[in-house]
Amino acid sequence: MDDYNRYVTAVNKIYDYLEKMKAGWNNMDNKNYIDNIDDYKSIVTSRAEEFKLPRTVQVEKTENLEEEVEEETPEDQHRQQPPPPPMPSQGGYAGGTTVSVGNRNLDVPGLPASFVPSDIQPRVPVSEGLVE
Amino acid sequence: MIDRLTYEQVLNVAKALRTEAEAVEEVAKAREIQEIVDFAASVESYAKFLENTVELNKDADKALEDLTGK
Repeated sequence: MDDYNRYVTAVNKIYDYLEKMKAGWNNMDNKNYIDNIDDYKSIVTSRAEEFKLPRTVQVEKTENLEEEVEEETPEDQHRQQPPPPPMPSQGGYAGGTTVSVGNRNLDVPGLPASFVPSDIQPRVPVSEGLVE
Repeated sequence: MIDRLTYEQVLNVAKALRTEAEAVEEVAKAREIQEIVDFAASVESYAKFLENTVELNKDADKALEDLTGK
């Protein structure tokens, strides 16, 4: 039996039983209790058509997606780290500036303005400088 | 007897109401229709009320028997 038929059958039975109980009670409080459930009748009737539609997607799938987002691959961890500044000798800077070395002024393309010759760090061999 | 109904009749109605309410609740939860879920919960509460009422009346009958027996 599909959901719509199950729903309609169950609701009809419920209201049949409630009518029997209402006829059997003398106590007004007990009859009022049944009337409170009768107040749902309009809602129950109006929403009946929705049971002809297919069932909605379950929540479990979204939880799996959230778990996938939280997991970080080693590549993602590497990408999140700020890239190390390129060494001056590699010439990887954008722009250019003039550097005073001794008595000469050298125009060095691609060198940042903040570069100071005394700040040159010893060149790190490629094999030791790789960040994994 | 409770008014015009026997204990057995009331308990049978309570059991049937609970069964039908569970069926409604199942199909309503699958479609996330909260109003119908609330309706099913109300029906189950009423079924529980009927069962409690029967138990109370049975206890009252027993107490009355004990009193009249003394």
